[in-house]
Parts: sequence; C-alpha cells; structure tokens
Amino acid sequence: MFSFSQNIKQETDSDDSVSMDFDGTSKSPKSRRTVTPNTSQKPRKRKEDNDGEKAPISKGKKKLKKADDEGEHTTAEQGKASGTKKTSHYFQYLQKKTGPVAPGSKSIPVGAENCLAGLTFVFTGELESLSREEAQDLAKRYGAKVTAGPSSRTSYVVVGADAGPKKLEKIDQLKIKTLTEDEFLEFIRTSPTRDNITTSKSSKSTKKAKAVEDAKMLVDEPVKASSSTSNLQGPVAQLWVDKYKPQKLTEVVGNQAQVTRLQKWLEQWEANLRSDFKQVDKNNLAYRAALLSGAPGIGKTTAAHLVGELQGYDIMEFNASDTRNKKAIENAIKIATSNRSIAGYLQSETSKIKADEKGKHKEKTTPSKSNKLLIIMDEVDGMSAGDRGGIVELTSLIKKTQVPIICICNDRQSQKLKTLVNICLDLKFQRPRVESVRSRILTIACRENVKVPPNVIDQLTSSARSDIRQVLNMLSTYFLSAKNIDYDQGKALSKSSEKNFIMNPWDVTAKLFSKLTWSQSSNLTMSDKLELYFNDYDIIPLMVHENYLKHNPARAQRLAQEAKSNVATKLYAMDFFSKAADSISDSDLLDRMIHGTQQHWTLMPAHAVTSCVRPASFIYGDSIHTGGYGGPYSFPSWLGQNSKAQKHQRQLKELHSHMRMRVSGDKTEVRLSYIPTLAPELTLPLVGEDGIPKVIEKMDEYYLNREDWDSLMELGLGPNTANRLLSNVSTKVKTAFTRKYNSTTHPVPLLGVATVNKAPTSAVVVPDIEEAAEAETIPLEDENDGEDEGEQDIGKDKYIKQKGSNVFKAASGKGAKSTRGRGGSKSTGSGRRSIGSSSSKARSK
Amino acid sequence: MSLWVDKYRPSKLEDLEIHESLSERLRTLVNVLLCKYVYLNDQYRDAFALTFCGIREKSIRANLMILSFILFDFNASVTFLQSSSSDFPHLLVYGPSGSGKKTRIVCVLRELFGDGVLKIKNDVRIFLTPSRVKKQLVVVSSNYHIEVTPSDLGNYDRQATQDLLKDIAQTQQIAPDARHRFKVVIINEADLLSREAQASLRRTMEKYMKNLRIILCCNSTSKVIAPIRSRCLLIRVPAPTNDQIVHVLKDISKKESVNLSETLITRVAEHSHGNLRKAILSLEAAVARNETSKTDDKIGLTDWEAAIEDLAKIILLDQSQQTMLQVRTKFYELISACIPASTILKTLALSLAKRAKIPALKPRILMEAAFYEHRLRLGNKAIFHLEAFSFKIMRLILLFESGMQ
Repeated sequence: MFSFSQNIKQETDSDDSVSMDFDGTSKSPKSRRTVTPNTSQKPRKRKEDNDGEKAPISKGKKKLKKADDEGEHTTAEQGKASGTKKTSHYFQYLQKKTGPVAPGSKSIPVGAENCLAGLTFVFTGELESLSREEAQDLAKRYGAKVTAGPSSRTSYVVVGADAGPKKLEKIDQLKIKTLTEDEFLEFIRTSPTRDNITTSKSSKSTKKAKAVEDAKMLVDEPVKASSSTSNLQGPVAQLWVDKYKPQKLTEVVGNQAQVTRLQKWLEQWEANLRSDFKQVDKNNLAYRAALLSGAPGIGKTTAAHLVGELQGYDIMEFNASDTRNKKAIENAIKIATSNRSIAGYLQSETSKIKADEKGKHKEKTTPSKSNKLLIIMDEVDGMSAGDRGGIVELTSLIKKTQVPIICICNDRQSQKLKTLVNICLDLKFQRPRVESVRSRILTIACRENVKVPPNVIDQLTSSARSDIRQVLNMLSTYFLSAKNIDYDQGKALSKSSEKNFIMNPWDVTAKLFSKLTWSQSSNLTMSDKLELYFNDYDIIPLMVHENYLKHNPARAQRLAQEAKSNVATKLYAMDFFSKAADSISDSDLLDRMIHGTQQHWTLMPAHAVTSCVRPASFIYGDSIHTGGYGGPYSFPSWLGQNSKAQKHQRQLKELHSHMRMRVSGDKTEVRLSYIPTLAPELTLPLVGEDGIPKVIEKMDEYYLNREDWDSLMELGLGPNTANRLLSNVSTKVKTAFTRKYNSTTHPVPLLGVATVNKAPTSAVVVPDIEEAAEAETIPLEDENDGEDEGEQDIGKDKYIKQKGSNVFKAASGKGAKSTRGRGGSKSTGSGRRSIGSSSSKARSK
Repeated sequence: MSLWVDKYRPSKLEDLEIHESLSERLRTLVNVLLCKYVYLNDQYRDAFALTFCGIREKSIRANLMILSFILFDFNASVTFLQSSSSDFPHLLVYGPSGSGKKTRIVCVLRELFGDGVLKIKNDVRIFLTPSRVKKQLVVVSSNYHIEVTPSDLGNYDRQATQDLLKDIAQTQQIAPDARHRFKVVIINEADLLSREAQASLRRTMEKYMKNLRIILCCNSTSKVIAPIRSRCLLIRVPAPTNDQIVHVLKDISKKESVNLSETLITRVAEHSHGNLRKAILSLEAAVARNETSKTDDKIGLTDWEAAIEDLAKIILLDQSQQTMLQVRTKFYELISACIPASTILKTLALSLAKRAKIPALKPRILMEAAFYEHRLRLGNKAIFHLEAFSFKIMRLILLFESGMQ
C-alpha cells in the first residue's frame, strides 16, 4: 500500500489526474452507499488541491534537482571507481566509432525496484548493445520517465553513437548530465530503491502528495467493504466497465469541455425549440441534434447517456444492432414521439394505481423522469448497405424533430455523414491523456483491491491508445487468474491485445529510412519491415521512390570513413543509390505482373522487398532536408507528373486526330517531328498583327483549332515552351488573334456531323447491317461532342460552299458509298433517332 | 499553305525519288494484278519451289508469297490467266519512321484505285468494350480504303481489329466505279498491337480474302507474330541515305526558292538520322526561325533532342546527389512532353556514348541502355528505369574516373 501511493506521488505535476482520482473514488456508487463521511470531507480536499496547484511546478523542479544531485553523485562515484574517461570526451570517441557492437554483448543488470523513480531519461543515438526500445523499457521498468527530447526537466541523457547534433547542443546548453550505455547499466545496478528518498521528500514538501495519500486511505475503506460484498456475489458479477461506469459528469475521463457543452446544449434544448432554433447566443448551441465523434472507448456513449439521465430524460437508443433503414427509423421514432405523452400518462396512471393499491411503492416510481425523451443514435457511421436511406432519413428527421437527438460516430470525416455534420452540434471527443486515464484506473484497481503499478497502467493505456474500456477489460480478465502485475507482465498483456492501426505514409517512410530501423541492435524482423509496406501498398513504394535520393546513405559514410578518400565517399554513395534505383526498377517489373493481365497477387511480398525494404536498406541515413511542411519527406510527385503526362497524351491524340488528314505519321512522329516545327511557325509570325492571317491559314491547313494551338504551346520543351515562344507576342496581339480566330470559320476535321443536318437523304442511305447496330450504341459523350461542335459545323458548311473544298464535297457527294464510319458520329439526339429508324427500315427491307 | 513536308509529298509511284527499285517493283505488283492472275508453268514452279523452300522460311505460305513477288520480274516466262478474283496480297510494310512507308502505301493505293483514294475523310468510330466502356477510334477513310490505328485503344485494340475488320470484310465493295472488288484496310502501328489483337487478325485475313486486303504498317517486324508475317508480303522500306536526303532537301529549297548553304543542309540531314520527314521539317523550322546563317551545333536539333543533349552534359559533368535530383526533374519534363521513354533512353545513351571521355565507358553505356530499354518494355513506370539507367551510368563514370574496379 505504501509503495502504491508512492507511485502516484511521482505524478504530482498533473493536477487534473489527482482531482480525477478523487472524484472517481469518492463518487462511485458503492462508496456513496457505504461511506457517509466521504462526502463531507470532499470539499476540504479539493481546496487543498487548489492550493497545491500553484506550487507543484517549482516543487517538481526542486525535486528533480535533488534527484539530479543524487544522480551526479552516483555517476561521479562510479566514474572514480571504474576509471573511465570523462563523459564529454567520450562523445567524440563514440562518434568516431564505426557500427554498433553486436547486441546482447552486455548483461542487463537487475536493479532494486523503482531505483530510477522520479528521474526523467532521454535516449539519443545508437547504444551499443541495447536497441532504443529495450533501453527505454529498462528505464521505465525501474520507474523512470522517458521523454523524446532533452529539456530542463531531464535528469539524464543516455548518449549512444551518432547522436543527433541538435540534441547534443541542447544538452550542452542545459547542462544535463549524460551517461553512456555502460554507465546507465551500472547506474541501474547500483542505485538503491528510491522509496525512502522520495517519501522523505514528500513528507517534507508537498501537501498535495499528502492529500493523495489521505485520499487513498479513505478510498481503501469503502473498497474493502464493497469487495466483500462483491465477493459474496462471486468473482465477476459485473464487468469492471459497467461496474465503474461514471455516475456524474465529472467522472467522465477527459473531454470535460465537450461534455459540459453537451450538457448545456441539452439544458437549452427546450428553450431553443420554442425559439425554433434561431442562433441567438454566441455559444452556438441552437441545434436540434448533437453529433459526438471520436475514437472508440473514450466515453462518448457514456457521456451521452449520463447527460441525458442527469437531466431527467427517458433515453431511447438505436445502435447498429437495430435495423435502421428509412422505414424502421421512421416507425420507431414516430411511435416513440407520438407515444411520449401517453407513455408518461400511462406510467403516472399505473403509479397512481399502484399507489392506491400499495402505498409504499409510490416513491419508487418517478413520474417526472418519464416526461421527456432523448434519442441516442449510436454508431451512425455504421449505417450503410442494409440501412439504405438511413442517414437521409435521420437527416430529415433531425430537421423537424421535437425531441433532442444525440448521434454518435467514430469517423466524422466519413463521406456518408457529410449532410449530418452540417445540421448537428459538432462535438469532437479526443483521446484522454494517459495521466487522466491512469488516475481513474488506479482508483478502480484500488477499489478492486488489486495492485497495479502506474508504469504498467501507462504502458497499457498507450498501447490501447487511451481506450479506457479496453484497458479495463484487459485488467479485469488478467486479475481473474493473478493477484498482481509487474511491468513485464503488463507489457506482455498489452502486446497480446495490441491494436492494429494504420501508420500514415510519412511515418512509414520515416521509419523505413531511419537508422534505428537498420541498426544491428534493432529488433525489427524482416516481416516487420514488410508490414510497413502493407500499411498502404499503393502509396508507400512511391513515397520511397520520391524520397530515396534525399538521404546521405549511412552505409556509404561508414565505408568511406574506412577508405578515407573523398572520391570514395561519392562512389560509395553513388553505388548505393544505383543499387536502390535498380531495386526500384525491379519492383516495377513485379508491379506490372501484379497489376497487369496476369494478376499475380502472390508477388506482393516480393514487391514489398524490391520497392521499399531493399532500397531503404541501401540508403537509410540522415535526410539532407530537414524540417519543412510534413517533415523531410515529400509527397510522391509521380502522381502529379503522371496525370500531367496523361493530359498531354490526350492533347497530343486530339492534335493528331485533327492533323491526320494531312499528316502521314503516327502520334509519336507528330510529337517528335511536327511539333518542333509547327510550334514556332504558329507563334513567331504573331510579332505583329499582320502575322495573324498567316497563322490562321496554317492552322486551317492542318485542321487545328484554338485549343490545339494551346496544347501545342504546352507540349514544347526548351526553346519551344510557351514562355519563350510567346516572349515577343504581346497580349494585345494574342487577344486579337483569338478574336480573329473566333470570328472566322474554319474547317473541321471530323466529318459526319454536318451531313446529318445537311442531307436528310442520308437517311435513305442503306447502311451496313453492322453499322445499324452500331448506330444504336452511340454513347452520350459523343452527342455532347457533337453539340459542342455544332456551331463550327455550320461554319464548316459555309466553308465548303465558299471554297468548294474538294475533300468535303467528295465525301458528302458520295454519301451513298461513304457511309462507313459515319454512324458513330451523328450529333444530335434527333439525328441519332433518325438513323436508328432508318437502319431498322433497312433491316426490314 | 501547308508545311513543305506535306506540300511536296509525292502521290504517284513514279514521283518517288527514293528507293526507285522498290517503287518499280510495287508498280509491277499492281500492274500485274490488273492482269488478274498468275499461273506458273510447271517447270518454273518446281525450280522456284526448290530454290526457296529449302533456303528461306519453313512456311509454305510465305514461300509462295515470295515466289509470286519474285515472279513479277519474270513475267515474260509466266502465263497469265483471267480470274474473277484479283490477287493483290496482304502487305506488311516496315521500316524506320520517315522513310516513306505511308507515302508509298498511298501511292500504291492510287495506282490500284485511281484518284478516288485521295479523297479522304476523318471520323470517329465508337466501340463498346466488354466492361461497357465506350472507346473512340479515329478512322480515316476513302471510298476504297480505311485507315485505322487500333493501338490507340490501348488494351482494347482487339475490339477494333475484331469488330471493325469484320464489319468491313463482310460487305462487298459497292462503289460501281471501283476497279477492284476488294477494300483495303491500312493498320498503323501494327507492331504496337497486342498479341490478342494480332491473333484476331489471322483468320480474318484468310477468310475474307475476297473482300479485304490488309496493309500493315510498322517500324519493325520483330513484334509482329509469325503467323501474320507469313500471311503477308513483306516490304521493307529502308531509311534514305544522307545523300538522298540532301538531294531531296536541295530540291525543295530550289522549289521554294530559298537560298540555303551546303553546310546547313548537310547538318540537317545528319541530325535527321535517316528520317526524311524530320529533315524536311527541321529545315523549314530553321528557315522559319531565320537561323539559316547560324553555324550553331544545335541547328537541326528538335526541342526534345536539345533537352536530352543538355541532360547528357549534366550527367557527365557532375555525379552528386544534387545532379540526381536534377536528372529526375528533367526526365519528368521529357516524359510529360510526350516523348516516348524508349526514345529518351536511346537518344540519351547515344549522346552519352558520344561525349564520354573514357573509351572503355562507351560500350558499357550502350550495354546498360539495352538492359534498361528491355525493362522499359516490361514495366509500367518509365521514370524508375530511366533513373536507374542514369544512376548506373553516373556510378560507372565515378568508378572509371577513380580507377577502382
């Protein structure tokens, strides 16, 4: 019991945790029933808490300083004893060292329990025998706190090889004590248990710690009582989760702001209903419904129920276990809302009757409670597939509801919920902080009379990502078979029920290229590395390709240091880059086999190796870019470049199909040979307005339209890019050119559109049977195309008349023979129908 | 006013200035066909059968084709018989771009059908793929022939070859003034057709011989499957020589009455690498840009060639991480400007080999280029392979320079 309260004391910095602890213990149902003095003592403790609030930071510092002194003392002693070099020199020595020594070369000491309690450790660089994770584990096991970066609160920094220069700088600045790995291990071995030290301090200094202990003592009594009662019922009469469900709003862990807001919303709901939900106050609570969103297990449903109950609402809950399609919701709610008054009436009637019959029972029925109805729509993002129209119905229901509705979902970003978000009060629940979860769980553990060290709770909480429900479930099942739990067991427990969560591509890329992933002491297996790829196998290979050039390969640096030549550095680096590029090139071949016609999905692991793991194994190391938006890694530019290339391909295809009448070459030839000549020919004359007719004439000659002119500008390179071609062309001339082009008529390369309007005789034309079939399958897009070109077609007809272009004349004159291919390009709807009918006529003939 | 290349494009076989013997042969092919049918004397048949069956391909069909083609030159010794069906074979015309394949095909068609083939129109055919996606295919046609590029449809090219060809094949020529009862289908980029599409051609080519002749046009026969090759008469159109190009260019400049220096013309001809179309176009570009008097190295180089040259210089100059990022950007620029990846690789490799200072490096560059060109064909994402190639070259440069192995 003593050491237990001791552990809590370490965290006196976090005030809310303590107060939460309090509330949780004092207001739980059982304690309320059994211990009466508790409530009277509560305010006093609160006050103390508040008093303590101002002090803790300075006191915490004091404490840390003392710990530091102590630490210094021990290290100094140690240094003398073992006769090693001074730590500052040891850095450089370490930095020069190449490669980590084989893991497991040092024996891991067994220290006294909690020998590092109250100390804060930072680890940097590669340790010789321990991986980063193992080292952090070790520190945590003995009660230390481990943080990522050094700060003024850090007691010790354990420095390994290749430590980050920034960190070292900061360490120097803050004058934090540093330890090598050996010293760290020795420190653990020799440090005494810190129970004595810290308790003596606590008795000296913090009132707050005292208060905590007092609370513990008080809590203890009811626990004994309650556990004895629960023992009568059997070991698990109720799940812990239900047993310790919050009974008051203050008992909800975290998200206090949201819960209060929800409460206010419900309070004002009736008033808002009367004012027809006009937004009047700045709190912005005038909504007919509220939408709670957030990760699972953080108390959304609990909060919603609690708020409703406390304000005397009857709660009607729909969740994913109910059918929630349009009709079902409609019915259920109609019944519920229309029955409301009657239900209340009936209940009060029955209570009256009951009261008449048996007067004693009267106080048990609470008629005031049944007047109001609150609908909780749980798991609304689960409304899908079977619940067709569910969300729509819910939305329309909310718009005219006469009762408050609370919707609960996990994924607020979901496309389905978009309409819902706009009409609801939006309350986003965050994952509660580890500290606040810790205190709540400690209270529960205390009441269940089991011993759970705080570092175990932290471990469980962070591995469950603050899912209180999961932590409680894990612990309750664990304690069915055991009486206490230590750090290692906790770790095993959390490992066994670890949640799978998807890492984002940036984190994956960072992890792949991190030196720690590839250091010899890393405990990541090959399949762990493959797993990284499977987080998102579409984007991660592209991320690797995008970012692999932005590293200084650590392997090359190591080799070059051995070779000691400047050329060698470059060569080694280049060697690794080339190997990585080759591997990525291999991966593309596999990608083709996976996504091509053969669909060899079994090759995915091979693709994972070649596209991500192998390239990363060559060039892991420090990034040459630091900082910037989204860290040193950028989003794959391949995606953008690819869509750009595809757009240009489409433009080129269009261009080619227009030029086809004049040009014999294929698409590629048009790009490779024609465009370099055409682009300047169509721009250079535009120096003055005199050049405009010349340009237009040439465009007409090749059936190019104004859009083609633009795409010609886009397709160029070097001197043929739009910037350089149009450098001498003033905007005035350019607009004149556009105006001129639009005002004149031009030939249109695609035939068939015009002849429909022109010659109804074409309907008499007997098309080939297969063409008739084709005419019926004319797609919509084509119709649109036809309409777009409608204006130009008329122009084209004029053009034919004016110039008497032999090509068009021949084609339209010999319409009877040249029906081939025209069926596909009938433009308007009517044209299409006429063809359809004509073809059916043809067939009947 | 069209560009010179289209303005001076010959449309008659006798106007063709390059490969005159080939033109002559094609003309006889057409003319003999007018006599309808070739009948071989027994003795000659045996003689030729002996000569060709053993030596050339194993396929009898191919042998007969070769035989009949050769025989046109010996028409004195064969007897002609009248027949209802004319026997113009399917053609497979191949050769590098800008050597005059298409021009020649049009000339042959003109010879076959008369001036009617020059009256062409352009329209769009719609295909419904099995997955109900509608695909458009641009079709150029006259009354006598139709020209398609099924490879435009990508993976759906089989649809085009199956549906379109059958459509055409199942109907007879209905033009009363047509000289032949068959229609001609020109299939462009035949080497880019998928295997499935090519296979679908096989039976059609035989079954509908009565109504249909196919002229396949491609750069290389290596990607055309053997059954197709054996069904066609192969006609190779080699690239014109430098002298021939110079001759044509001079001719054009005379007709256009522009005064051009000898050096300019030779340089343009050299840079064209046997592509007559490109030569004429770049000559015109040089004239349009008023660069005729310049003696710059870049005269006659197209924009993309110049960009690749620059890239080669960058690679050879410095082999650092910065260069690698720069190289990547350049590759992206080229790819998005619709330059085919294999063209980029080829041009870059040649340029690197030309500029490399260490002789031992040159063969290695070409070897690596061949290796990665193969990968380009097998893979999807061109940039990966281009990058891998250029980094390999950069590594080789460093390796050779440092003298390490």
